[in-house]
Amino acid sequence: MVALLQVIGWSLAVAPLQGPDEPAHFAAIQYFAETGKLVRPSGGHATYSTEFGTVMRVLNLGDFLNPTAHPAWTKADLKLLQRATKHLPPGSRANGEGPNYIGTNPPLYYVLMAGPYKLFSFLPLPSLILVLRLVTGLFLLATVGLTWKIAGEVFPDRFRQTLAAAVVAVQPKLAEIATTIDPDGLLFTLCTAFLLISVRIVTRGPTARRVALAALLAAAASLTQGRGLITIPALLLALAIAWVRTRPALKEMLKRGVLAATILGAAALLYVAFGRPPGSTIYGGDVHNLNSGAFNIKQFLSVVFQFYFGRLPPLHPLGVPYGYRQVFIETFFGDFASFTVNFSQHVYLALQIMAGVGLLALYTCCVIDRYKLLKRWPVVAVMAGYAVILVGFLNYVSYRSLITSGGTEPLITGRYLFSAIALFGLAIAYVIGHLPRRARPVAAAGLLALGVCLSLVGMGTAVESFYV
Amino acid sequence: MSRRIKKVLLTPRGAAVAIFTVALVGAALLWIRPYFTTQRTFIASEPAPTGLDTLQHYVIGPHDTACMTEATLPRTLGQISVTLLPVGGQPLPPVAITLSGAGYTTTTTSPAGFPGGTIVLPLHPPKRTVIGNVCFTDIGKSEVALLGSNEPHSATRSTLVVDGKPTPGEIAITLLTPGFHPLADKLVPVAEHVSNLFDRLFGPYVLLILGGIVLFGLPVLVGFVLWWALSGS
Repeated sequence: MVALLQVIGWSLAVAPLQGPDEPAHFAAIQYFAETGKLVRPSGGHATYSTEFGTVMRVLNLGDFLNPTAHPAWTKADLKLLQRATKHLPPGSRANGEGPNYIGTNPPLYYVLMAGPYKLFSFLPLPSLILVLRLVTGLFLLATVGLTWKIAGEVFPDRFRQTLAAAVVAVQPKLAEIATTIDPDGLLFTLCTAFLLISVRIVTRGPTARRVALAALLAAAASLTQGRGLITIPALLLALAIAWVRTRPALKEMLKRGVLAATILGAAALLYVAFGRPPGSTIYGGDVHNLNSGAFNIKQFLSVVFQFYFGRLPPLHPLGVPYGYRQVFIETFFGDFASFTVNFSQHVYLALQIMAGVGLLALYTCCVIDRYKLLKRWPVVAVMAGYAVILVGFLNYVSYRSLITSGGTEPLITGRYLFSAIALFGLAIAYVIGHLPRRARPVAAAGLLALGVCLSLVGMGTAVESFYV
Repeated sequence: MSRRIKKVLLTPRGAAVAIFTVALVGAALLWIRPYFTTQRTFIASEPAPTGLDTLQHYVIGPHDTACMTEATLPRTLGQISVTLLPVGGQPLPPVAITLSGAGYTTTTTSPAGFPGGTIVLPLHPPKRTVIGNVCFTDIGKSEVALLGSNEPHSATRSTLVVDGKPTPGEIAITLLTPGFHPLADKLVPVAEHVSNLFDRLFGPYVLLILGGIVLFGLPVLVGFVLWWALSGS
């Protein structure tokens, strides 16, 4: 219910098409739903269909990225739009074949969203945009539910289990992204589900059903967004941990491995055969482009160090000053609607201090609990491994992007961390569970109050930016 | 305070929910209430925003006219905000700003000798909202530059026409409602804006009810979740 209210609030608070790349994602859904084809990353005659382009033009809803801009919001504007779309020729919704830079994405989200699009295609496009936002918002509900299930595997008590899920439900940026027409919502739901199955694989054993389900989720995540590829090494890690822990017969384990590889291979084949627009390479060439050029380990470590700890004189800076504060704080908790709606810098500073205290507390709790954690090493290893793979992947991608863009494009942003949002909730619940008995409810109350406040203020600021 | 309430507040979950409530009420008073009570100007419509990255100067000479077409001229407008800048160090000439649409024309004039910068001038509103033009005519003897932009981030449906010729870019224009008001007084018009942008899938009053449910329901539900979580520990 909390997540549902977040979905309703955020879907309406941000003006249509003002989420990150939202027009491009909507155009991709529309083109697939109308024609059964994927948008092209290059070539083609129009990024947006005639009708969609008309909506954006008449209601001033283009790629503003300009916090001072306001849409055309009067009834007269709406009538103008209705007049403009009334006499459009047939096929005006089906001619946005590209070039659309989103065409480099794998297709799963667009294919899935084509269903609701077709179901509600009788609506005018602005209404359809709201419907698709609400449908995408269902992924937030699923993510909160899945976090609750993971926490149930990890914590034996209702307090920490519920707290972990509640923290995820009141994370404002997560809710905002989940209500944007964007594959990220599907991606973090699939990743959270994958994490749940991985935990079960290492705790309850790698049954064929669990391995197949984990492989299916990894395949689906990889077919949703390139960032979903992190689930493949994470799956290997989970299987390795399960093998070490349960020591099944090598033949049995090999069978499981072959099963997972078959599912992933079939998904890869499907993608190569049907999941790419004509003439497009795998992930639109993003994988190739990111891995082109020389890799310098010293430079990579220097960039990673500076990302987390800031500029250090003997180390050579690469690119714009962009690091922990921007990714783990500002764009993780705020910077809504394509970075145009923000909390004040004081809020970000307070969040950074709280995050620092929280990380220190997490470290302290881990040291205190080291023997308990060692006893439960499979769960700890699968979760820590997943987090390291995700963060390592993002740092690598950011480094390669800085190299290929000449230092101008660090690429990563806080929402990319949402693939591990369940771990965020679990870490907070774990730390609060270690506080003295009387302090636990107080800390939980304060933290949830903060989450509610950030969500409401975030929505209010968005309303103020777009509609006032 | 009754003994029963005291007893509940002394339990961990009672204390937690009390702290949660106090924290939220405090935040509502300090952080959320100002959104609704601060006196502010409201935008009636914005035919073209100020540029984000690059600013453009559109220079018009004596008796020349620059128009922005397809501008929304709402019945709630009362002022226009534009930026006028001198050219070549000469004093700014008076500029006549005319808004016109179906059955509606009004003109306001910037004062001669205005030092340059953003100026807010009063206007008569139309009886009903119309789509029309905003035209600037230099009625002095020297040139004047109108601030605008030619960047894609700020592109709108309006077209800039200078002396009858379509010109790339837009002059930044904001039409304001008269006076200062708190947001609390303007909730219905704001809900109208939201409703219109989603093609009235939900009417403004439904949106206001939904907004109220989110505003009050979110804290109440999270408080309930906290209470429930603690009841199991």
